[in-house]
Amino acid sequence: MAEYRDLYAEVRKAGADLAVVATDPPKSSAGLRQQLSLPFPILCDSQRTIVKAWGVFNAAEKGGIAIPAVFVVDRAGMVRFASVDSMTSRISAKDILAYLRAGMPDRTINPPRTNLKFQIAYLYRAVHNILKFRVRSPQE
Amino acid sequence: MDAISADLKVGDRAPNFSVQDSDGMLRTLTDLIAPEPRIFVFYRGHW
Repeated sequence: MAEYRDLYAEVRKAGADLAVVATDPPKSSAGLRQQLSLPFPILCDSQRTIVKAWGVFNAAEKGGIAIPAVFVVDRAGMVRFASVDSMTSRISAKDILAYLRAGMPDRTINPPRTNLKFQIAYLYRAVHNILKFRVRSPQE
Repeated sequence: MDAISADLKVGDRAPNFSVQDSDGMLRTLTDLIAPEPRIFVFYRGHW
């Protein structure tokens, strides 16, 4: 989220705005927002209505949380971009900014499954991320 | 390696919602996308 904060002026210049959706209690999100000095709102989805309706609900953990994901919705309410993160692959704020600047083509990002070259590249990136970020298990 | 994908896909209409933000202000999807396209970042929450 800090990355989005740092790129927020650029996001606005590219003609878009931003909001975070969190299932945490409002007080917790308010604290986080203040702590990180976020210029955009955090939507408090305590009832899990948004995460369920948008299909990013992870029922298995901590009483139900969001699957990390990014959507871009245009002014007509249409989803133009959707990226659901996996444990080893997360779309970055820079990627989103590049997407906006490219004119917001319709775009879905999922980890590729069938192309061997992509799988190798994906595996390489996964190992790289593990070494770089040290995978945190949700069970820890 | 299963790809995880949301039910909500590119080309779908995003379902409207009405929730409070962390300042206690009521926010709806309609309001949030009215002036400009909006990026929605889903955060998995604190550990």
